[in-house]
Amino acid sequence: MNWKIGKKLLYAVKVILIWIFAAIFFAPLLLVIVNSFKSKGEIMTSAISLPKSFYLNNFVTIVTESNFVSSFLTSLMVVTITTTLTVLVAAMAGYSLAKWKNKVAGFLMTMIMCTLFVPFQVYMVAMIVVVKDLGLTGNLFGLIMVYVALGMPVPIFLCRSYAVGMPKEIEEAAIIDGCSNWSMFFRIVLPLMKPILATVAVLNALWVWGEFLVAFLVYGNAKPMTLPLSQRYFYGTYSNQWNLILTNFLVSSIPVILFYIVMQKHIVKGITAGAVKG
Amino acid sequence: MKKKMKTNLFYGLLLLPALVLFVLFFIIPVAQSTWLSFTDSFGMKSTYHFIGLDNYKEALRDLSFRKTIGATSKYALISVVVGNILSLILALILDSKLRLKNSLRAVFFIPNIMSLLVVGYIWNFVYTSVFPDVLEGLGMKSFAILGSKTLVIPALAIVGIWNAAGYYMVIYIAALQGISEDLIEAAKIDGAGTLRLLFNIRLPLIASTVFTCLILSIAAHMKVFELPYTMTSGGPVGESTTMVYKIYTTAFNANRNGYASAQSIIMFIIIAAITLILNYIMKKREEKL
Repeated sequence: MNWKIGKKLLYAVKVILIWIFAAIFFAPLLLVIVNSFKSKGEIMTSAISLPKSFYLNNFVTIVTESNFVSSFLTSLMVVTITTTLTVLVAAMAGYSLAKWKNKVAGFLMTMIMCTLFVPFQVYMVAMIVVVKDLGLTGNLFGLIMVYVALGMPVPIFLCRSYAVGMPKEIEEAAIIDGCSNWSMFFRIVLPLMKPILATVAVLNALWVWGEFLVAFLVYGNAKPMTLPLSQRYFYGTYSNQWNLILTNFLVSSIPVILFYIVMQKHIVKGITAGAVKG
Repeated sequence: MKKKMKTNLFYGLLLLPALVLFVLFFIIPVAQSTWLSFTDSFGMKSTYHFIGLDNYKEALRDLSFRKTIGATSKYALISVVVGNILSLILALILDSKLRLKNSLRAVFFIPNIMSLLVVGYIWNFVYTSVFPDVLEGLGMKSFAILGSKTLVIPALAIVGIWNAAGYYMVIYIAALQGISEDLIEAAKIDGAGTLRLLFNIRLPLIASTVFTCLILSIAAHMKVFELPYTMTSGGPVGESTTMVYKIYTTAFNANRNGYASAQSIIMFIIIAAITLILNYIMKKREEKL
């Protein structure tokens, strides 16, 4: 009997605790939502009151007057190209590193592993010098190349471990059937790797969508801006107009949150796999 | 023989794009960074001189740089310790049977998928606009929390924790779900209560995950840049200037690429040392088992 009461008590404590934490975690987001529906004056009076009326002007201003739409589309394009290239480069390299029984491949594997221990911030100063020498600053091509380079190590690892586990027989059969190496890779191997590629793509897309520092250093103030760059610019131009700034954040976060809800499984899988590998 | 060469060529070509990117955007910059740290390279000027260890000597003497090591460590220590405990508690609760489990997980994870820049600006709003209103509402005198020398680092750490907790929670949940049900059942039959189950079975079994998360989170928090950038500009009086923020201002505001590179290398040595020590402890522990 006692045991049962204890169990119920424990359950109650758990529920109360988790909801308190959830409320604390959600509070900043709630403040963003609530204040997006308030005018500047209303926020100045109180940042914690509920909106007096259903004030939609902020949303209109964001969509019509700022460069929100253009940077939204730019980011969408950068994410699409970067993620496609990263997936392709990582699948090719990962597969090669898994199947190529060769000292060179082993050495390269160790080298690429090193990148995981040297964060970008350590060599960012020299990186900008190199990128500038290559003529890649201030254009989207350069930014995408740097993104692919910085984003590929973990995907290469994940693809490699996945390819190690793929049965050899399938590829052998394809070759015997007269497939060339290349068509075997693109028509048999890539489709087989789909589960890991999806995971890799989802995590990469999330990273690129919100990435600021690399874009700021490599791409700078060039136009069209990516979303985080435009948000920094926006913050600078509309300083103190929190109504507009917060609305911008709200609108730009909605797609990511929807993306998370749809891709939840891949995100969880990618994070746990990445943590084990890293 | 010809077939073997063809296969080698195939594997080599598959590796080529990654290799080119790796050399251009990792090997060369890292080598360049090391080289620059021994020079007086300034801005984009193409002439510079080898000055030996002068940059390193300056960094060790430079109080403003030494201060950033302290500030970053303090920030990382709070974020890592409090953050991991919190993530673990969240994971333990969310691993059990609970209503609305998935929605709750989403609430904790969403701060992690938002851009760190946006996270910084949102909390800037919370600290500068919401916080004073709350204090006034409670009838207290309001003060600028980000302007306080003692509170600015804990304030930034709260943001770091808010952003990262969901990430480590996901890893902990996966680890907890990996514990075999049979083991838990067996312990229950032997009369183990919830607390004993937690401290004698669950936590020891996920100890290696805890270490992994500690290593990952230390490396991540030591690199913080966006938070001081968006919330404090490193102030008040350099109190929240983190190492990366310092490197950024040295290189891109003061244009001292050489000195900034030396600072970067020192930061790398610090992060690598911590990681290696933790790795060593983890290996030792695993050997004992």
